[in-house]
Amino acid sequence: MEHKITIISGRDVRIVSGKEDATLLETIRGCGAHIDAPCGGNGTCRRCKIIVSGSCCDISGNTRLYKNEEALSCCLYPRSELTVTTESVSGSKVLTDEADIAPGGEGLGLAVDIGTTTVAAYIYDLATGKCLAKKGEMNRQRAYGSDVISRIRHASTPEGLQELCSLIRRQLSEMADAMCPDTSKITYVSIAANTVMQHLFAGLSPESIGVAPFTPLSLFGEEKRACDYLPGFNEDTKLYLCPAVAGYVGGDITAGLMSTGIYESDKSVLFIDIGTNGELALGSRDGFLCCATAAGPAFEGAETECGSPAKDGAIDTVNSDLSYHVLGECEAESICGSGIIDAVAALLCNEIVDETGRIEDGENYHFNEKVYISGQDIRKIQLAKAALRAGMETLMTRSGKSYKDIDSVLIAGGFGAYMKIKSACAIGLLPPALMDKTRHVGNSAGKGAAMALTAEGRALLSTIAEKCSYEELSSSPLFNDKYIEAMMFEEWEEVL
Amino acid sequence: MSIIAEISQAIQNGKMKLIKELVPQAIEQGHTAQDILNNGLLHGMNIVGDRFTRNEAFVPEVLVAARAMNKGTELIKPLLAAEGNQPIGKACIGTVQGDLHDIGKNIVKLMLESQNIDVIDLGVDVAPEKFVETVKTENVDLVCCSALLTTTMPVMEQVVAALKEAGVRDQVKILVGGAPVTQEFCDQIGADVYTADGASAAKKAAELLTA
Ligand code: B12
Ligand code: FES
Repeated sequence: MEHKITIISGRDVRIVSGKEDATLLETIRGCGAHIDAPCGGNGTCRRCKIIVSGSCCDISGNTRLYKNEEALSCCLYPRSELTVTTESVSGSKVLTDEADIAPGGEGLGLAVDIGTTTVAAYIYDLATGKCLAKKGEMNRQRAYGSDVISRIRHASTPEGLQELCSLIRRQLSEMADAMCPDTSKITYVSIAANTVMQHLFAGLSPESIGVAPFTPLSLFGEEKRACDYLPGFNEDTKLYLCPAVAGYVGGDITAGLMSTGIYESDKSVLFIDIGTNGELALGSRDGFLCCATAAGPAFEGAETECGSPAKDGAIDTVNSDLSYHVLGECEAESICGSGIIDAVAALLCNEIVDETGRIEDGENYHFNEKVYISGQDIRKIQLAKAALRAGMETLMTRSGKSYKDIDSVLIAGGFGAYMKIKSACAIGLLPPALMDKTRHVGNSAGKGAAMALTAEGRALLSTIAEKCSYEELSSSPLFNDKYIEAMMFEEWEEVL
Repeated sequence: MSIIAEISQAIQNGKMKLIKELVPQAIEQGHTAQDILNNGLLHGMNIVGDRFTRNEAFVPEVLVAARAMNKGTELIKPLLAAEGNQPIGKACIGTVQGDLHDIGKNIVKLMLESQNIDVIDLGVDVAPEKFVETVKTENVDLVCCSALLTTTMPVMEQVVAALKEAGVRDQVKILVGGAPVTQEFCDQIGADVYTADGASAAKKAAELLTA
């Protein structure tokens, strides 16, 4: 049976019909309305809140009338005509910095970085190597969960895979159309993304990446026909997906190793991509050792009680005296990832949180009535920052390097760009000993994808990918020791 | 402070060296191994567990306390056996197939042990059949499944089904947990107990075994 459902998000009103056995979340995202669902409908993140009026059945099977009540859309099934109001999610900032590429080609090139959270696309004039247009958007698959695992879970049925696949392909086509009046002039498409996003774009099932031993179906790196993926592109336009190293070290990482030039370095460089996943590579022109740690969502605000992506109303900076800045210069409504890291650093510095991560007086720390940091939030941050740091330490030990051997630390990725290096060192996410050698490199994956629009770029990229080896952390006793060691906050005095 | 209280305190502070000194002293003074275990070692570990539940202590502190407790129980093991001390029950625990996260599982194991429950650790990536086999051969009372990935949560449902199929479902209580697991999920798959953290899991387990 189906019911008429009126979905109101901001000024956008849609009327759709909702099946009794589909959750309201499924119906809302099915019609393309905006909704945040970091846990992908698992009922654990509590972010998919809606205001609902009408009769609904919850997941325990209880049906009742909801009168303008707040509820989780992933836990309700419609039983009558409904009116549903979603919180309008304004998109967060998307990194779209770019660089020139080698000139000498023909026509236009489309370079794309598909992140789990954001998508950045660029149009290049291949003859001059200049970027003509660029565009950043939120990844439309986000309504299916903030991390790759939720997407994998959704893609575990053929229909789900089809849904996510066409969503991202359509998004790329539309972004290309918006940047370029005549897409028939595009002669080459190059895409850098993590391995799961590459599978979804290519229409391959990522299911095997979701469970141990996390083996992908493909590592890509081959040239295909663009029109087989993106309708409306020329028959002879080629499409290239940057080569991946493993299920959790994708073409975005190899592209980053290329665009940052570390593949030429004779000294050791640590490359850290902090986005929704956290990937690390340590090496030099002789080769790289790579690993993946489960970092992301905690830093993107998805796991903290008042967390949010960077949007108006979010605290994005907290100073050491605990004064703060709010995006959009309004009253604080939430706190985004960069703000959370600053806040933890400031709470340590003011001795409100001790070195074990305990809030001394046991009370939530409030910035205002609505926005606070809880004891549980700090624990989540500890788990996430320790995973990244322990990943670094594991790579260093395995490569026989110590801090003094590291020439520089490069921070890439959507979240990395906004994270303050000093705060990250204060909470021990990055080693304070390397603070002065640490710098941001922006959207290295997008720049790498652009370089791969040229034949030389692609040749170089495949040699880089061959020189990368993968360190599995899941079953590593060394990682586990380092992980426990990295969990406390013992280093802030070295920084603040 | 009595020496037994001192032992409890040393556990809370994770002082393994001190435990090595205090436990033999307590035996010397005529305390039974049972007394040292229940009112010293387990008492201290329970306090750590409660602090962990309230977010006052964290993973590393639980692990150092557990290390000290293990040292202590090792020292009194022969005496305990001689006194006829029996664990209150037996559990098996594992991270389900396809999942390799084990830190949470290890904490639950330590907490169960600190309730004087005998625990068989099946490790990570444990297939449903392995749980069944263990129930059949080891005579366990509790089956504990951990999953940290939303992609591996469904394996817990398979464990419940496999135990039913093998006709041993009613011999055991099934506990499920891990960050993405919820009470609703536990109910939905027909498991018996869900708790959000390790210390509460062990309390619940002890209740089930002594009920
Ligand atoms: C540490 C960690 C890792 C470590 C694991 C080390 C190890 N040996 O376990 C490493 C880095 C290897 C890892 C790997 C992966 N991880 Co990981 N990981 C984490 C992290 C940060 C912390 C988990 C943890 O140890 N917590 C500490 C313990 C003490 O807590 P706990 O496990 O929740 O257990 C407690 C309770 O849940 C309960 N409990 C647990 N089990 C049981 C059982 C019973 C019966 C009961 C009653 C209670 C109970 O009691 C415990 C103690 O209180 C989480 C994020 C998070 N906040 O949970 C991600 C997380 C679980 N990982 C995730 C992912 C995706 C992965 C990867 C698959 C991919 C990736 N991007 O890295 C990989 C695997 C591939 C690879 N790289 O090797 C995701 C899962 C997302 C999802 N939707 O399912 C998470 C949630 C991070 C995220 N949001 O992206 N990870
Ligand atoms: S709680 Fe509904 S999507 Fe997370």
